[in-house]
Amino acid sequence: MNATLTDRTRAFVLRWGRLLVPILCIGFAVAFLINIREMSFEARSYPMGAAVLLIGLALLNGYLVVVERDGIGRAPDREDATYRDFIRIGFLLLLLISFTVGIVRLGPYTSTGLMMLLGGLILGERRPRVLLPVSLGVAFGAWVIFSQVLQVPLPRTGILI
Amino acid sequence: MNPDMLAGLDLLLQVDALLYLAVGLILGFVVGVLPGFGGANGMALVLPFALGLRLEVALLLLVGISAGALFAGAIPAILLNVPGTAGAAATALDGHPMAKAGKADRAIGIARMASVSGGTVAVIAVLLILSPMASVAQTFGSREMFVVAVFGLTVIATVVGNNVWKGALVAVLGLLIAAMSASPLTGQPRMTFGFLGLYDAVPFIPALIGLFAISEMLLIALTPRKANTEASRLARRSLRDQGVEIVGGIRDTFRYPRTIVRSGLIGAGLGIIPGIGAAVANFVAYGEAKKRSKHPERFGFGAEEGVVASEASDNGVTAGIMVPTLTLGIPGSSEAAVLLAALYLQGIQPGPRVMVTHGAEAYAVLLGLLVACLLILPVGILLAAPLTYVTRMPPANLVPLVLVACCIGAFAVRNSLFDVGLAVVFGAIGFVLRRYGFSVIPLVLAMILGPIAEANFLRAMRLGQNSLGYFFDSTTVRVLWLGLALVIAAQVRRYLRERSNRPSVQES
Repeated sequence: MNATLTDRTRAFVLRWGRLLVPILCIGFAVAFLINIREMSFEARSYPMGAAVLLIGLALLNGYLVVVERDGIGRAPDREDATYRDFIRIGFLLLLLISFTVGIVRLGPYTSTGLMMLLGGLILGERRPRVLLPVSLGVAFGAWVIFSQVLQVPLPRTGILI
Repeated sequence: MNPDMLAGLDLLLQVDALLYLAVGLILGFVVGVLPGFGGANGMALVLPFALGLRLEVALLLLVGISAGALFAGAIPAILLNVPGTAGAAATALDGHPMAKAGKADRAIGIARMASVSGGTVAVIAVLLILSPMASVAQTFGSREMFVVAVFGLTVIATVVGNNVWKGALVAVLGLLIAAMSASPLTGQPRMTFGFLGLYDAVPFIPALIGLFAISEMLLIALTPRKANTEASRLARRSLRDQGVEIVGGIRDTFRYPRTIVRSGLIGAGLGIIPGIGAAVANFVAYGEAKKRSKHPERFGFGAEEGVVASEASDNGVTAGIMVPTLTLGIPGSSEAAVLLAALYLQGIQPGPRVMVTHGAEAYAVLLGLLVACLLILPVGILLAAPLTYVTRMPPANLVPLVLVACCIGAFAVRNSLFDVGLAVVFGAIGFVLRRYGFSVIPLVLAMILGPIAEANFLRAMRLGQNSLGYFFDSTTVRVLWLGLALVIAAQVRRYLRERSNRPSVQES
């Protein structure tokens, strides 16, 4: 019974998840319209028609998804992803944000090593004999390439390197 | 000979210029062989680090990546039936059956030689027409540039991707994202949310890195690839064994000289039209080759001529795309968009004046493309086996590695963490779009063409004293509007034909 509930949930998300893009587009266009309308008429230099057009296209795309016309609701690519895969993506995005902060707080190369280690763990690598050398190697390689060869000015304010 | 062409040759024949071209070619091979990664991703990753180079050296590095990726995309297409780039899609139709029949090395040899010869034909053709087209482009004013930008947007929205409505949605979304800046007319901020970093519009390189590279890595992380036994077997063969087969493939290519020339010219010709790109050109060339072949029944089952046609046109497109990019500042593809970004970042305003003020650099880029086509042969032979190892790199190592390069690249543009955050946000946007079958290419190109269209529209309105009739007032602009109408009509006709051919969809 649990498998059936999971399958039904997955099918529901797969089908109606395709409305996510049109919904986000409508939200963005409405925010744009509100922002433009708050300006004085003289200051409005961007035609609001583009935002209205986006809303129209989003509604059309949403309609085509609901009725599965023109193949829009039937994109077969990557349908084998499960909710665990999306959780993995969520962790990866959190890791990216942490890396962004870590570039300044911990130092770019320490953050690089940690990113390789934690990224590998998130993506399923469990062998220490692979994780540790790869993390250290990439961090060292990044120092050689960015600091010595390309001389990219990365932050030096980290507590480590 | 054109004095700019001579000056361009002089710029190209510097040691560092040729070295960076070769480095770019090798990097292009590496990124092109990763399925779905492609030249634009590689170029976007390298762009921040190329800013400190001289203009022509930076452009040659990027062109080398583009050329290398275009060729290398054939390798996973042949071995894995997964094109590394959109332009290698038709290569898989016959290349993969050849691989399954044990002739993978021969197919790679044919692909290599067809790329070299087709690309050479296309570059020579473009070198001949570049100067006259630049002269025509210099007569374009604001209204003509506006119509050209709208033309490019329309073609991109309707041709790229698998559905015209999705393409249009993403293109218009790109226009609005491009409008998130201070107004060019009044200086008032539009949708900047108080971020100073958005006052000059969304920074292009972090957006590009996010939309292409970060989103691609997230997609790879979502559904990791499975290993391929044919790729593993090939990687274990000796260089000598591979060399014998590859030379055989190179020799076989010359049995189809007319196909090479025709496909190279088709690639160059279609590449000139903004938005068409390699994805369309290689199928058009493939279709033409099949129609004119003595054995059309072999196509799709391992016909060597199919591989020749696809690969010759693929490299031809790179040359054709340079025409609107260099003469009008209108990018014809995502790779061309990155080249334009390189020009912006070097302080050069892309547009018709580029051929006047930097004609030597423009010709150096084209001649560099010719040299890159010739270098594909020796570099490709040397890298054929190592590249198959790249296709087997586990996602657990590949994804974090590329994400690190993305973040550092985004940071390096303006030394700003805001840009890194922006790249992550665009990575998430690109992931969501691509996950649900929307192409990000219309969004990227709209982000470039949108400001061009807006600025030229405002300028033309001022010149025409706020009269819309000014946009129809000259012969040139009427011809451009007519061309746009014909393109739209062709797309509508294609869409209606596809809908009538499609079987009715049943609910699951």
